[in-house]
Amino acid sequence: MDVRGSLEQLETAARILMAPPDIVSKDERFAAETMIINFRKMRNAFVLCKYILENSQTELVIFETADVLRNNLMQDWNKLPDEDIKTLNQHILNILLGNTEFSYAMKRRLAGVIALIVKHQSLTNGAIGKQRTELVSHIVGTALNTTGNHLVLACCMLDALLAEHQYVVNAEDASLTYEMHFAAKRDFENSDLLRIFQFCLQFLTTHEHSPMKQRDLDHVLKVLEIILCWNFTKQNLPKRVAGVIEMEAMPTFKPPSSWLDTINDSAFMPIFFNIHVKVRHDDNFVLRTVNLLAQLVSMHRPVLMNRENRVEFLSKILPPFTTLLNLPDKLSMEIYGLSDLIRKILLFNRAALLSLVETQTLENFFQAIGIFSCYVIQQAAIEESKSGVDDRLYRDSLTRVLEAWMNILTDTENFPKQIVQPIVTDIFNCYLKAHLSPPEGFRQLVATADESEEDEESDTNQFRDQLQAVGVFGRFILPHSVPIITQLLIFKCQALQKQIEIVASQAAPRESLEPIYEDIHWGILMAGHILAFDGLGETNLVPSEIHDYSIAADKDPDLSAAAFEKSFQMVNVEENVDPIVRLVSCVIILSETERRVNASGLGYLLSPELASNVLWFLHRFCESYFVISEEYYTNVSPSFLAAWGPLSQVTKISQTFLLQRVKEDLIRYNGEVTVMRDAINLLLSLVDSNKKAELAIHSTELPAIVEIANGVGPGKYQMPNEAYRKLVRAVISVGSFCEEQSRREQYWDQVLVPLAARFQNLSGLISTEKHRDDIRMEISCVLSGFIGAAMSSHSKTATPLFKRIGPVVTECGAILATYHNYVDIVELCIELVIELAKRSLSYLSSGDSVTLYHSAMSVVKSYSSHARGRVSNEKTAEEDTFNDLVTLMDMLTCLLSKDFLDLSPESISGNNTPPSVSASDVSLLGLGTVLPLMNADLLQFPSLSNKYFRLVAFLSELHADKMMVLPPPMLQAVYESVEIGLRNGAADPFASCCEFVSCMAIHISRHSQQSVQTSEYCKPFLKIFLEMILSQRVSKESIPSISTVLFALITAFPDAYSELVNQLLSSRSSEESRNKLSLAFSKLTENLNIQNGGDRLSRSAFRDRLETFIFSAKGCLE
Amino acid sequence: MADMEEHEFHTADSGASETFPMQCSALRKNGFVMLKGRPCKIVEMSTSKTGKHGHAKVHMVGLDIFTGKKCEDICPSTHNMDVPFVKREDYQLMDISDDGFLTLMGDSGDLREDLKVPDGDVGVQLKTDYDAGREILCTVLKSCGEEVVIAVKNNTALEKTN
Repeated sequence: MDVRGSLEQLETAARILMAPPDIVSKDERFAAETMIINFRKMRNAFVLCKYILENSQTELVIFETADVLRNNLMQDWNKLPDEDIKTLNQHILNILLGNTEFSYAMKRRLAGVIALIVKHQSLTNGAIGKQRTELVSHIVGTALNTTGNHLVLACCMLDALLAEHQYVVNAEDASLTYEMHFAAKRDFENSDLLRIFQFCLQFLTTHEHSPMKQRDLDHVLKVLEIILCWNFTKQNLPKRVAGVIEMEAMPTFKPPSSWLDTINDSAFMPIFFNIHVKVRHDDNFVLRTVNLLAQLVSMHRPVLMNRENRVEFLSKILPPFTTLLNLPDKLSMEIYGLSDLIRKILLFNRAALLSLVETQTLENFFQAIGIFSCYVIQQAAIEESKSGVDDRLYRDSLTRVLEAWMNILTDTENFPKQIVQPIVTDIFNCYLKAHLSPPEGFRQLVATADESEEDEESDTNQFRDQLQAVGVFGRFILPHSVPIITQLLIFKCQALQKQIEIVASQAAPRESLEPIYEDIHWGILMAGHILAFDGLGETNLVPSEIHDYSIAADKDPDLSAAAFEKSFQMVNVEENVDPIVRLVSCVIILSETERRVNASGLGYLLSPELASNVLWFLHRFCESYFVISEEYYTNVSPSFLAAWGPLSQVTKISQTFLLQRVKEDLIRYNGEVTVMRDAINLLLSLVDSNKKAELAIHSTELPAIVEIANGVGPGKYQMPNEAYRKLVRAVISVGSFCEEQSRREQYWDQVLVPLAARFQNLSGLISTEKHRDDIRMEISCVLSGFIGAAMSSHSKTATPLFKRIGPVVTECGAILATYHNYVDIVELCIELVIELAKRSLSYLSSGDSVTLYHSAMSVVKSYSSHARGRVSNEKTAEEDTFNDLVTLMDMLTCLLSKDFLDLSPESISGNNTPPSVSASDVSLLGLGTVLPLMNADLLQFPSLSNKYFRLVAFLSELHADKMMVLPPPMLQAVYESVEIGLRNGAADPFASCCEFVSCMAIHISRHSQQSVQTSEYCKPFLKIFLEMILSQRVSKESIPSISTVLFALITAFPDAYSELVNQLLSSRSSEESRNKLSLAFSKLTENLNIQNGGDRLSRSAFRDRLETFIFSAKGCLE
Repeated sequence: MADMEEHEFHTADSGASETFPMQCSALRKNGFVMLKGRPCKIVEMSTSKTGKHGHAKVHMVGLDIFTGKKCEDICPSTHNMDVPFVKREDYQLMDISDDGFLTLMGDSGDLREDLKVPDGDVGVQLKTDYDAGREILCTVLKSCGEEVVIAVKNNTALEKTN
């Protein structure tokens, strides 16, 4: 090899690449790039690399040489004489020490080669870790007393060593086995990692009081940060679990017990705080040093094994942290980090443990975090008043800090309540004030009055975590929080009444109402979060502390119930009433105020946002408190039973009032989607149990709501389509909660009979007057109504509801055929099938299921006959086809759910005879429809290709047998689309495509269908996947999918596989490479069972071997 | 009840009006609306409000169903907007005259000869299929007094799949 010539060529290429674009031509640049790429792939390049290192000064060339060396060392370690490696190592060290002008990135690359060599030497030459320890000793020994370039170089070497030992399962170097990586890392952790850690600490201690070069400190802190974020090895973890855990970016700091002495050193803890205090004003360091502290406080087992250790650790860490928090000059850069530190301290040290810390230390600490919390609240209030702020630093910090308190406030049994009670009260008050306008609070003015804001997220969503935390704060100090919020709502409600009068008389503008609305808005949100928490799908219960508080208040229950009833007449509630009842009554009075303002024709002055809040509060209240179930609680407040118990007369009256409010809001706010949503939610919470539903059915107001639902339609009452569906769903749900079947049917008749009559009426008209606009609109409305009804279905009501919806869905195919030109109706027809498939199909009898299948089939046929071969000039035609296809595929996938989960009466009783049509028949028919409409362009759209390939994968998983007997052109088209999916490479479709091919291959293998014609379509995938692997186009994440599919293909087509392997081997020019590749192939399948689809053990072994194979094959092919 | 409904329908369709009013909040994406006096298909809809405690407004972006031109409007959610009646009827292509007019036959067998071969892909496809002797279905889009052949489809495919 002409090394000199090669170097010259590389240096020329590097100069071209580094030259400004106007000096070199495109061709020259391309040629230079090709030269560098070829150099990267070079094998047996030691001589050239050595020559380059000795003779070149071009950074780019040396940079690339480092990578080539790494690759060559990994591939050929065993072939290289020890002496050569030693010389190389020494040579690189010389370059690093001698060339101070090289960039850091360049040095780091070369250091990476040394780290690799040392790791290999430490594993293969005698005692494990010997060479590495020698190197580390040398580096830290010299680095401690140096500064500047020498120190940076030392840190660079340490960084390279850390990186080389960081991963075990996900290590880049596949020439070492998992076990070797593990042994190397474990040994490193117990010896050299600790030495490096000690070096960093010692360095910081030495330089703590002297001025330090910024660059030096930066490098040492970087090394320290890597160590504090180190993922320590754990014994006995399955390889796959270990692989996931080791990729965690910020694991808690868990040093092994061999580190105990260092950790226990009295200087250990303070140094971190001292350094932070020293550099916190420098923006380049503050984030890193806070992060170091956060990692430090996360420290736990095994080094802090027992309770004493932990308490001692806390006693060491709390005082300096308290001092840090009490520093008068708070820096915005460190606020989030400090909030996170507080959260970590309180998260990793439970209340019981904290209570063991010396009282004064603990009190000081809580005092400090209390003041800090209030500071963050105040700053967050200022930040919220600014619009257009992208980075909500204080909002996020506040969420963190409030979250931190949850660990203490929810564990009151193990913590002295009196220590935190006054602090919690201060924080609660501060939060409340931050959301009130002056003079009561200090909320800042937000200047948006004339601006129109695009859909902003509601406060309940935006501040969800904060409000939930404030709810916990409020429940911790109920005797304080409830009266104060009650008083606030009473006062603000009166202020609102007065101000509305003033505005109505035009003595003030409408804007003057805004601050009052905003105050009440926050008051209600806080009250709602104190009274109840979101059960997230679980039954929403009244928190026990609220029962205890109400019982302890000991007010007359009857008086409380009477006062609650009177609140609907806006009679103010006095203090002799139960405090919780009084709080809810205040919101009722507010609600009544809104109703009366509206009745007096001043509705335009009201705030839809506030209406939404009131409905939200009532919804939350009704879920937990209304018609309270005594059996859920050991202690129930008698006042709650009297006011809201199932037997109380007041309950009945209140329900009527609340239903009245729902009814009025559905009309009054039909332009406000959120208010309607909240009104419908309130309706649902008023009827969500058998007792509530029974009460509601007898209420005089429910029929009026039913009438609204029945009255929606063209030329009648108008409502957004989504709201209409939800309303029908809610109205039908009332019946679903009726225990008595006849009463339920009777109630449903009120809603579904008129809807069915409208449908019947339409059926007659469609044939003669199909183009009439009003008929089309009526069809849309009626179908939406039935979709709403289908949405309410659940296990108990699926069958009776299907009896009513079934006749409609059977017509959907015909409707679609008639109205195929109208996208909205086409979508509604498909959506009705989807809703039934999603919520009812699993519970339907086989007879009803077949009805649904036939309906779906007819929808698919109609769609197909009209969509196929259509050419359109419409601007939105492509988008419409895209949407139709997505919906259609949703339908086909939902139908398959029955094959996963069949809870039909026949299936449960075991009398299951296969139905004449099955879900898979419809899905396959649908697939045939979808296929001609799909093309490579459409498959580029992620949402469509995800759905399509998921459907194909489901079908092959459940019904590979049926797929095999599809018409050959159709199956061929499926395989072709799968090939496109594989080539596109997006993660989800790729996995689905692999699943499809493996399911088909396993089927072919298990049923010996290799001779069947359609299995020929599957065979080429063997080559496709092998090529994919050999051309190194496989990402690490896709290896599990690929190993499954390749194994399945080998079991299905063993002969074709052998043939392919032989072809590949014979195409290798050098004998050595042929032998190596042959060895890699035989190791891949050696002793595996590949009969009948193979067994689990073989599959799993194949997966483990594939990674090694990929590495070895790479070595042979380059 | 059925009689009453039918009666209502007749009243609704009897006038010669080309549009009907609909509350802004009840409009939906993919539906139709008159924007700047043109029938449009709504391709984007979002709501906003004046201040946190103000009333909702709806912002609509539509495409003219005949020209594809983009139109926008903003309207309080409780106000009514005009919604065009939009029909899409299928006709069988019988003939193409020398001057580019189509002879089309409707469902009921009546013939019309007032529409021209459309521009673009549809026109090309239509002529090619016609010259090849295929049966062709044309979809005619009609709204606000304008009519145009918007899509074509080979009728033999329909027969085959049926």
